[in-house]
Amino acid sequence: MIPELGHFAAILGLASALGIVATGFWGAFTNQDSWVEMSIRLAKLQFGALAIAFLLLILSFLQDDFSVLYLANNSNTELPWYYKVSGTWGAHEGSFLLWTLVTACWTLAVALRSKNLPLDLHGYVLGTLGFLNVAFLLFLLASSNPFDRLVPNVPIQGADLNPILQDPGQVIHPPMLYIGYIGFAVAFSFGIAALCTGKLDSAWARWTRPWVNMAWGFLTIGIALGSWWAYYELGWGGWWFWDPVENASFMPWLAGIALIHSLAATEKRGAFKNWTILLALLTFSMCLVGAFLVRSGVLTSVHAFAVDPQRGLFLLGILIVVVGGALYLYFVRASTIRSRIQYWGMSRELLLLINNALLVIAVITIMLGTLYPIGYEWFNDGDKLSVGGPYFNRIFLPLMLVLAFFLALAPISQWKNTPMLLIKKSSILLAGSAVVALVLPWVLWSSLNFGVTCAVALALWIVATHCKSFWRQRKSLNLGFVGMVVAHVGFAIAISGVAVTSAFSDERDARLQPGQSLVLNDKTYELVDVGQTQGQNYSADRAHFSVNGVMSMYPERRNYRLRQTITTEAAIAPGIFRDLYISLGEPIGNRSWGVRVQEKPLVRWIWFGAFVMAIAAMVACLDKRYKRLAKRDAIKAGSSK
Amino acid sequence: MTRRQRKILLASPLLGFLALAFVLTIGFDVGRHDIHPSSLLNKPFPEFELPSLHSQESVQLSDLLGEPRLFNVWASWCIACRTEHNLLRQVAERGDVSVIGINYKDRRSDALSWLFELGDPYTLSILDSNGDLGVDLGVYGAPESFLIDAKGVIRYKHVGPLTEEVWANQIAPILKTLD
Repeated sequence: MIPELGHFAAILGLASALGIVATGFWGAFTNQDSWVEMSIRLAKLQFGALAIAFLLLILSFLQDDFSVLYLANNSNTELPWYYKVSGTWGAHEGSFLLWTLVTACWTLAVALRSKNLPLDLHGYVLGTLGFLNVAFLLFLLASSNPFDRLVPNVPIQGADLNPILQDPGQVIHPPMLYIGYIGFAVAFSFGIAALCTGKLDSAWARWTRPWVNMAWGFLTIGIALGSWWAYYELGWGGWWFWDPVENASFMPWLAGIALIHSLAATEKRGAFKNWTILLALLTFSMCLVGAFLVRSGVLTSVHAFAVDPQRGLFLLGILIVVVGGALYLYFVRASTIRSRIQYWGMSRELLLLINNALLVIAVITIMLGTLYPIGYEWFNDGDKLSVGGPYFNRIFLPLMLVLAFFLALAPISQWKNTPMLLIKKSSILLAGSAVVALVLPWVLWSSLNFGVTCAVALALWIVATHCKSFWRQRKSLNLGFVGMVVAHVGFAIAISGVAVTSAFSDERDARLQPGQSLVLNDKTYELVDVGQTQGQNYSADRAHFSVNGVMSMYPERRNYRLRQTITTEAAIAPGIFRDLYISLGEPIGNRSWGVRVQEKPLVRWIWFGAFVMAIAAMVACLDKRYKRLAKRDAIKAGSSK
Repeated sequence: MTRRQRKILLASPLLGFLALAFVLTIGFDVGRHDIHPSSLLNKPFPEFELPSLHSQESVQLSDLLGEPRLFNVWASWCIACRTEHNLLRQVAERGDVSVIGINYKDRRSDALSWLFELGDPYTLSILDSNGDLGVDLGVYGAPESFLIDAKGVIRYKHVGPLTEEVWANQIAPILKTLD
């Protein structure tokens, strides 16, 4: 009964989404208040219906109702209750239900939070969001229904949730990621609305900016959590693999940064209007391409969901209709939107343009690297090929260093033109940072590396110029400026972490018997013994290591009975300046074990930097001017009617 | 910038996307072929010598030649195998073709109780406890099915649970040509 109710609630969600499309577009087209009011009410209904559907699926998981196919494949009575809850979004069908729920959430937020918007803009935005959820819900109900029953032959026991997903990091990683992805749908809808109305002024940019910042902040947290999870769960100490699915989340992330910055120029200077719209459309399009890559089985990866050709075809259809339609609208309507003539000196506009150019090159690089294998396979009759890390690192890392260089100038730059004196002054700071960056790695890790020196020098320079401007403006701070400074410092923290971890990580593999030890850098790791432990749904070999005789670490190898899957649980001793990382490998012959010990300096700075950036982006949304000016804009829009 | 140049500029994102959509479509096409890889098709079924599930006597490929056979990879831990089990039982009852089970990476006692519970459509089941035969067959996971002719040549391969649709549209027509 419960699954049927859930199924019905999802259908109700689809019906209300259809209603939002009709009322939103019609209200905007005829400029009638009552229709837009109706679409706001339908947005509430849509959210309620999908929330109920999702809760009912969770309830089915808690009740171990294995007559539901999705549960039979992804749950088990032995699973702890919290993984039953998170199992709801542990595979394709349930996670896509979550995806539609998140879409409904954002639609509701836009419906409620944008009362100051002009009527036609509001209607078009809601209509577009409704249209997207119609497509998603059709896909869900037609080819990925999580409520499908498995009758007759109801299994007594389910197949268990994929063991590597039985982890707290994995519980929150997908929802964060989806909130981020679909947050960009709001920017997409604002872009479509601007094309439909033909009006794009700084008020439009001000309305759009907070949504983009929020979406980007969530996406950042989602990606950072995924990377952190991969680091401790996959057991080989890597934190980024250039895996196609990671790339799929990374491309909209980069495009999102470009969008945030070009929106700033559009708001303050009326510049890059066309370009901003295009970015708003493309950022979300990349989220959809990502969803297609993950869920269609085009690419094989650790993340790929079960392959079903029908699903892929359906998603491809959605992709072509949504993205193709949006870009066609852009082609037809974009010429009606003109930017003001600009003055190009050494201005902030120029810096933002450089930022956008570098980020777009980075996105294209990653896209080519991700899709090239597909083309290769097609032309070479099924030969498989992987481009892999070296290609991405060689192109991407230098690009980020160039980006960091220009980023350091951000706070001292001014709109229209920047006095040369300011630039000269900041170059003194650069010289100072470079000297420190030459000495510091030598002192801390007693080695030198060109990449590390560049990255650390630029990071220090970024921190220096930003702190200086912050101090100068301490009396007239606004949250927008604070957010910018903090986000840029977060970027500096993250690139220092990436550079130092990549260059100075150390590792040693050995075959140890209990009592034997190995030495890495200044530490001795002794394998004391290996015992057995039991979890609720797994059994494990648990090793006891003693580091320098003072600290104990316990890496595990878990064997999940139901799926016959082995996972390694690394033992990590975290630290601000370095992590110690031990993973337990295969047992080798007579009481010997394969062991890998790693020392990873500054690895935590990567996630900390990302977290700082995310929080900063969200803080910037709280800037008072969005509220104050929103009121003024609303009055203006009202009086011009 | 002239009007025409501007038009081309504004159209370029759309054209770029169409190119991307093309790549994704062919990628999708390749992905589909991957599900039915041609590498084993029309090649002889790999040689093996494995114990049978019930009697534990050794079985070889040569013992099974002389008539068309449907090899079906299954396991007691495989939930999807349950969904095709009814169909296999119908096939066995109708006598369309003799079905040989390959019990894949499973425990013998689990496999026997599974067949006891759900019924046994298999003429014979082979124990592939280590998955060695699975490796030779390029098995992605259970269930998978291979149709061979009387000479032991693979005529059809299916990944995932068999459905009425697959049976009627793919396997039955091939079976007819083999008789």
